[in-house]
Amino acid sequence: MIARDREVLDLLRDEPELLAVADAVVETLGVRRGGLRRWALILVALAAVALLVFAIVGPWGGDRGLFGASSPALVSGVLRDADCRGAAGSVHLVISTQEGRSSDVAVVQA
Amino acid sequence: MNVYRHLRERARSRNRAKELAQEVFAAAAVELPVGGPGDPPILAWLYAVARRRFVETVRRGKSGPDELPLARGSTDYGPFVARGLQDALQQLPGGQSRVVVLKLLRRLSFAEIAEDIGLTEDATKSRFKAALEGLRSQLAQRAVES
Repeated sequence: MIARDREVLDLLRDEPELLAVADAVVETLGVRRGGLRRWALILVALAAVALLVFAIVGPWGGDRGLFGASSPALVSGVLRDADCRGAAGSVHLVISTQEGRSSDVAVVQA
Repeated sequence: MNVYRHLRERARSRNRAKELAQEVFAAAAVELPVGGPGDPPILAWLYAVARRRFVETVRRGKSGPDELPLARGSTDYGPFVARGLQDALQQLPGGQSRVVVLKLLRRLSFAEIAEDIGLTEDATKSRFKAALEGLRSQLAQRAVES
């Protein structure tokens, strides 16, 4: 909305038609700042979840996680509790064990 | 103390901006031409949508929190107006379209734009207004040709 730009409002206060054109330019051709901010938040949230999962099930203590819990169950709980609503995409976690085996832990689909 | 002053100054200027926006939008909503049967459809539609948006902004400002409305990523104007504006922007002389892009899309101040393009601030404002007039003419012309 052109409302945030005081300079434009001052300049066009007596030119309603030009103000309308300016508002249309901002709204139709402008970057969706709110949308970008929302996507940035989603990405940060997903990165935080991934880091948390890594910290829990990482190769810190054999087949048990950093906090001594059974890893897959804890991971599932964390992912279930994570608020991923609105994210268009998925998180696919692959956990590597110390023996070099890899296994899929969970898939979160938005 | 400095933080307090800073916040207070920001709050005051936000209020002033809000008052200014309400005043300008209320006047603009009243003064915008009403689309008649002979008017170019794209401009008539643009003005009609703008009038509604300005009225909504004033209403929100009166009843809502002490905040200017956020950019909503609105699709109020629709692809019809978006295509028209994009084409019209491409038809403008390079200097004019640059000022429009820097001001409305990159959100620079007139002082920053003036420095960027090597004009005075007043000349930059004049060029900006001329560009918007050019866009309006282009939209009217497109409607006549189509």
